[in-house]
Amino acid sequence: MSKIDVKNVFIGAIMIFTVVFATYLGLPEEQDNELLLANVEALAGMDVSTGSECPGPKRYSETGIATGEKTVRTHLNDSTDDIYIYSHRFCYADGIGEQPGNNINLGYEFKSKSEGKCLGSIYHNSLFD
Amino acid sequence: MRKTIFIITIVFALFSCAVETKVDRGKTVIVDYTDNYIKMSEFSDNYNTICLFPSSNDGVINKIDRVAISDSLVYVLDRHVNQIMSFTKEGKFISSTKKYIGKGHNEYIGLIDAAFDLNKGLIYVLCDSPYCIMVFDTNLVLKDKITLDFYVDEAVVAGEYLYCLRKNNNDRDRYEILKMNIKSLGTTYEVICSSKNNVIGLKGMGKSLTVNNDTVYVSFPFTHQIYKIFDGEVCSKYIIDFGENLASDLNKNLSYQEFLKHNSNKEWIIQNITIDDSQIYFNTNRYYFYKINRESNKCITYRELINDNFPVSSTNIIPSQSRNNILVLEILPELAEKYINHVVKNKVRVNNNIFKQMEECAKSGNPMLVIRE
Repeated sequence: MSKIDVKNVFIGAIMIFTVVFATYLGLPEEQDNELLLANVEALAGMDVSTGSECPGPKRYSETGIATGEKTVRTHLNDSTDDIYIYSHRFCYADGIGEQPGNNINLGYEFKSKSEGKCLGSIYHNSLFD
Repeated sequence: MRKTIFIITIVFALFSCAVETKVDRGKTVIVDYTDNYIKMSEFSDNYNTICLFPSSNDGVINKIDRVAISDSLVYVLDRHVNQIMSFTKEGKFISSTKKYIGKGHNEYIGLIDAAFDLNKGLIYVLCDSPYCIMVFDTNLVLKDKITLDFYVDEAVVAGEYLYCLRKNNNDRDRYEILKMNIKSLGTTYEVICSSKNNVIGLKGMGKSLTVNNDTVYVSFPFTHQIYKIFDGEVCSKYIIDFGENLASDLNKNLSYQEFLKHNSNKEWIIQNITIDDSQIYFNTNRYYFYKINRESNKCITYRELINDNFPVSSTNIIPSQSRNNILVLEILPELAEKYINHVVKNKVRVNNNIFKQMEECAKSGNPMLVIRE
């Protein structure tokens, strides 16, 4: 191999490394192009719930809880409103199964209370009394 | 020497392409938590209300999961009643997908989500057991049914693609965004981005996927990033810096009980993202209302969003599709009824127009939409 050939191979290798590295940098951080085939039957028979308080039948692919929070403002007096924070939970069930077990409302749980300046136009913003 | 120049030129050209398509590494948005409220009038006076009246045997709403608004109609997706319903802008019930519920051919058992492409007059409805996409026209008449071999949680349409959020069937800890060309639905798809964070058995109350001006925005559950997708590619992202309020152990596959033990007061999901020309609004699993200024990339949280035109408010954004730059909120009929009872009982002097709207909302039994244009 002549000196020029060695030089060309060396430059080529560096450039290929540069291209690969640049392409890697160009990818989204969490990108994954791996395409995996679904196995619906296996999924349907699988219960991946984790001892949930939701009584979803085991035929569901996945059962669990959906949760969120809510502020509730209630008029206290002419200068003050009470502001409550509640968490709300309900059962969900995705996949193959019967309707019972899905969308069971587990209700609201009180988290905290504070006082705020009365907003005048707000009379009532409460679902809980 | 010629060979060397040729190789360098080719490689340089390739490198240039790589740089051009390189995804923005992300804009970091620092969240400023305040104990304040924000009034709707502070960011717009232009809003409409629509009271949605059911017919004698249809059009009853339990919980709104998504809305879509065309020039003449309002579509409401409600998983609890397992239907999509359409109403006029005056709130008159028009139609629903109720007649397609069943186990027969061209029927569905469970409705999951829908992507509204109202410019083209099509609604792509995701269905469960068996997994499929049912394509309806704007009159909610079935046009096509495409079988899928996987469950899809959410979907939106932008440009030529249907974008779907799903959990990978073989790796339930992995959330993915797929794109499918709407001309060949169900045949091929491509995963364009994914996230390995998950807590099995735990979900938020809202939606992770939205669209505005043909640009898709998604925040995977259990992450703190908002990806921006245009023309089938991730083009940039916002990294939301919740500071010490970000949940820990987002990628450790804990049971949800274990996870919530340490993170019940932390942020673990971004949802109900709504975009306009200058702001991005969203909710999380917590009660706050979040507003990002797109120019300064600053995010302010408010403990309440006060609708100062109405006597009751809600901080929860209703996920919406198909009209750009709108923000949709709701007033629940239970609250409207309480307000009416209070006004009548205590003979409170109130704005007649507002009182009438609240009365209609209470009477209808359905939530009233408050739409900021």
